This record gives sequence, C-alpha cells and structure tokens, in this order.
Amino acid sequence: MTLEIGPIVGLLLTLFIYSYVVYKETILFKFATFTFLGVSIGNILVVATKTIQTGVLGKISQGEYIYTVPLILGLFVFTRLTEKYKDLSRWGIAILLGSTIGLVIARDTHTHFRSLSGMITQVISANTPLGYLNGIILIFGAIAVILYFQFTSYWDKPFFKQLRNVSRVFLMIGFGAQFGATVLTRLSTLTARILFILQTLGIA
Amino acid sequence: MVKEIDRRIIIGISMIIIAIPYIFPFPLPMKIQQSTRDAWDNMEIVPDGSTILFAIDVGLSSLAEMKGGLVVLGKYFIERQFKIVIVSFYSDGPVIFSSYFEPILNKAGYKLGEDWVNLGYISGVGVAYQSIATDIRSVVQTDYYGNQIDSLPIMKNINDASDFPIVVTIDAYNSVRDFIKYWGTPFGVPIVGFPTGTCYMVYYSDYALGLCEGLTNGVKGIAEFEFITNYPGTATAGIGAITVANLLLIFFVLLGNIIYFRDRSKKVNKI
Repeated sequence: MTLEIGPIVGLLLTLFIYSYVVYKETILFKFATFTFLGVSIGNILVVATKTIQTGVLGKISQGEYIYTVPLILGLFVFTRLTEKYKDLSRWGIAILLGSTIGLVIARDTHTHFRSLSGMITQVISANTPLGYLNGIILIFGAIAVILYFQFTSYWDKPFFKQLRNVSRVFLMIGFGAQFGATVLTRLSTLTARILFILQTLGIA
Repeated sequence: MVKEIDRRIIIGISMIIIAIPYIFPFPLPMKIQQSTRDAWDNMEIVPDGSTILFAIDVGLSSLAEMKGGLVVLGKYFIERQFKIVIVSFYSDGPVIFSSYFEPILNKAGYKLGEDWVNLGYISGVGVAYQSIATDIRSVVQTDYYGNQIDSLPIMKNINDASDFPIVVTIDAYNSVRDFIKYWGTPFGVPIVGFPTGTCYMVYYSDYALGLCEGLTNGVKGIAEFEFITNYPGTATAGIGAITVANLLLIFFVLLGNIIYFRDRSKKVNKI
C-alpha cells in the first residue's frame, strides 16, 4: 500500500482553513492562508516571467526589434518608484489604457447592438403569450434601468419618479439573484471540500 | 429571545448536514435546464474529429466547483475525437490544465501536437482575445512546452477564430463575455460556456438574448451535463449535498427573518 502525500497535505490545509470558521483565527489558519497566497503569487510570477521571456525577449532576440517599444514602456511603469522620473510611468499606462479602451468601446458597441436586437427578437419571435410577456418585461426592464442612471432634471416630474421606483425593483431583483448565486457558489465550494475530506478519510 | 446565533454553530451544522448525502447517497430526479441542453446540442452538431478551441479560465480558488467540468469535458471531447487547442487567459490556467486535464488526454492516448496543443497563458485580457482571434501567430509562436506551433500538425490550418467551429470555455473570470465580444460578435463563432454559478447569473442575459449558444449553471449545470453525456462524476455525486445545502440555506434565511420580525413586533408592543 502506498501512502500518497498530496491528499494528506490537502486534507490538513483544508482543516487548517476551516479551523477559522469553526473555532477562531489560529496560527494553523494563518499558515494555510499564507501558503495559498505564496503558491498563487509564485505561480503568477513564473507565468509572467515566462510570458516576457517568450513573448518579448524571445522575439527581440529573433530580430523583431519593434518589441523593444512595449518592453521600454513596461519598464517605464517602474519609474513610479522614483521621484525624479515618475512622470514617465504615465506613458506606459496611457498607451495601455488608451488601446484597451479603444478596443473595448468598438467591440462593446457592436455586442450591445446584438443584445438590443436579441431583445426585440424575443418579442417578435415569441409564439406563446408567456413568451411575449417575457419579452416585453425584458425590454421594459432594460429601458427602466437605463433611465435610472440618467441624472437629469426631468426626474422631478411625477411620472419619472414613479418610473424610478419601478427601475429600483428591477435592480433589486438583479442584485438579489446575483447575491443568491454567489452564496450558492460558495456552498458548492464547501460541499466539494467536504467530499474531499470524506474521500481522503475513506468515508465516502 | 435569540439575538444572534453564533456563526460557528451554523457552519458546524451545515458541514455535518452536507456530509450526510455523501455518506448515505440518495437518488434525486435530474431536470435538465434548457441552457445546458443547448450547450450539449451545439457541441453535438460539431462534426467528430473537428479542431475546437477550449479555454481554461478557472483559478485554483474556483477549482473545487469546476473540477467536475474539466473531467466531463475531457471525456466528452475524447469520445467525439475532437482535436483540442487549449488556451488560458487566466494565469492559473496552465497549472490547472497540467494537473487535471492533461492526465485525461494522456490516459486516452491523445498525442501532443497531433490531437491537442496547449498554447499556455496569454496575457492582455481583451487585447489578447482580439489578437488571437485575428491572427494566432501574431501572439503565439510556440506552445506551452516551447514547440514551434508551425511544426505541430494540429495547427496546420488554424490561423484565426473563423477556423474553429466552436469555442468551449470553462470559466470563472468573465471569459464567456470576452469570447462573445471578440469571437462571437465579429466572427460568428458559437460560444459554449461552463461558468461558475456566480458567473452564470451574469451571463444568463447573454444566453437569453442569443449572444452565446449554451451555458451551464455551476456544479448543477455540470451535473446535468454529466447526466446527458452519461459520464457521472463528482458533480453528480455532489448534487445531493448541494440540494441539502440549498435547503439549509433557505431554512436559515427563513429562521433569520422569523427572529427579526418577532423581535421587531416585541419592540413595537413595548412602545
């Protein structure tokens, strides 16, 4: 019979983590959390280093010198650590943000139009009264929530005040569903860990 | 009057009750959600042996929930003889792949370079999705193990998003939305997502509006997929425990509300 060390370490670390929930913050809990953080950060560091190695340095060494530009801009970000040259960091961040925002706006607009057409299709293609009603609620809810975030003077008018209350209901339903899903996700994680504990102990 | 229940009591009771269905399993009826059915249907119409893109965008913290998904998808892809191009837009992806997905491929005799390739982690979020969609080789020249992708038979006719009949993503970090934005909308590639329960709520509107072709709902959705594909795994085993956990949660919410309203009515009576 071979003794596998991995599941036993996993079991101990799981129990260390849950010691906080069922007892209090102990040194074992701190050890487990710091181990998790250390492993995660170590992994990110290795992956990031590898990305720079292959994605930038590797290409420069093959004669693709254009890649020195992002490398230098990336290094500029570290100038924030100095008082004298910290303004240079803005160049790197500006190009990163500018290019990302440009791309996101272009793609988001297209996708939002697809959403809009999807909403209209829901109503047009509905073949049951319930489907039709569902489509109308969807369109009305979307418009109401968009209007909720318009901070202009017409909100003082009674009709818009009422609409604002309706919008709030749609928002609360959305947030409630999101919160419920988050709690259930955490419960799923708990059930998976309990299964792991039971399997390692040979009970399940 | 109960002012506050110690959270340790609640967690302790929850852990014991959740453990019971694992020790004494009981059968539960499985109702397949339409979004899971659509995920399966859209994968079924892809011809056997096609080259698909599989994105592993889960981290170590969400692994407990999503591990079952990795296993069942691995088995399903092998059954369909799909050739798999694996990619990660989240830094934990390569570790998750090596630990949980690669052993399934190796066990089935899948060959690196012929039947699967791992392009590794690609940084840059939106820009990365966009770049790889328009020209894979502009971003990646070697796979995760350092092999030139041009030397791998699987990559022979793969250049951009339009070369894939479907994208399947197992996701805890907005991957489905990014694929919709950068792959689905401009290239018309069908997107099937296996997100966590939390992400499912966010993406459901996208699915309902037809922006993505199929979606599973966390562990429950994975259990449904295991049921459809006839590969029962950890998600199916855990569905009893999750049901019990959900009922327990409802019970605690009701209990909290009863205590709250009882205390409030007592305060009103005193006034």
